[in-house]
Amino acid sequence: MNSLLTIACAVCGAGEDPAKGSYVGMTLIISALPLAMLGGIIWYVVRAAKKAELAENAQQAKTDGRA
Amino acid sequence: MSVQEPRKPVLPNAVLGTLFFVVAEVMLFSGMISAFTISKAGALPGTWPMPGQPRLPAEATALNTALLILSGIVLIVAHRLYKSKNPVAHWVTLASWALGTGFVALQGVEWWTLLNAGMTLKSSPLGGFFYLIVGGHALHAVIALVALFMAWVKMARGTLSPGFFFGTQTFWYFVVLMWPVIYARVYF
Repeated sequence: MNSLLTIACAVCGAGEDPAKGSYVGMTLIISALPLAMLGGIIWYVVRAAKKAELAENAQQAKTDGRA
Repeated sequence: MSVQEPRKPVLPNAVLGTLFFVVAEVMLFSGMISAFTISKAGALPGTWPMPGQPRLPAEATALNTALLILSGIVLIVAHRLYKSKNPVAHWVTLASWALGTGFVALQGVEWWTLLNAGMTLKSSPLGGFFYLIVGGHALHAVIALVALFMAWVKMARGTLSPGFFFGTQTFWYFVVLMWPVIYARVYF
């Protein structure tokens, strides 16, 4: 009965929100997740492009050496 | 004057497109899991799950989870075989598809059992979240399985383009990797 009265009172539970930690945690995750995912894709594409360029330059140098 | 050949893209367009789609889908599931987590944390003691509602079969679902993860591993093997032009690749792809189908079928059995036990979309907040999150994942799994089956047919006929196969794989890996997160959050 006590707990029901507490729920009915708008301010009795103030500062004791059991979901507060979850709110903060999920806000942090949801804020960081898109940045991390898009950052990951950009990082991967840039790294792959650099690798491809290095391989291309090496191939070009090989061809020039033969000629 | 020599004409320079166009550069090969570092990432196939199909994979890049699927990746951006996957990012959006991850955020969709993150939003739902976030709402679930906060609702569960704020529930009054003894009301999650609601009295009279069935418990989620976490132990039985471990088998489904194992099937799905195995399916992802088998698809990685299929990818390697496909890249090395091994003719066995399409059978391995089919094995991955069969394991994924097994996961969806077992999920169907689980839903049927839960519905018969009285857990519906409207019976409790847990029921609502369960069918929304797990149902959303199942829908993605079914779409990915259709794409994977198409990839298998094309591979067997020799008409499969690498872009289609890699794009399908990207989507399937999303389905596989998203599941353990859902399983850990919703079932326990």
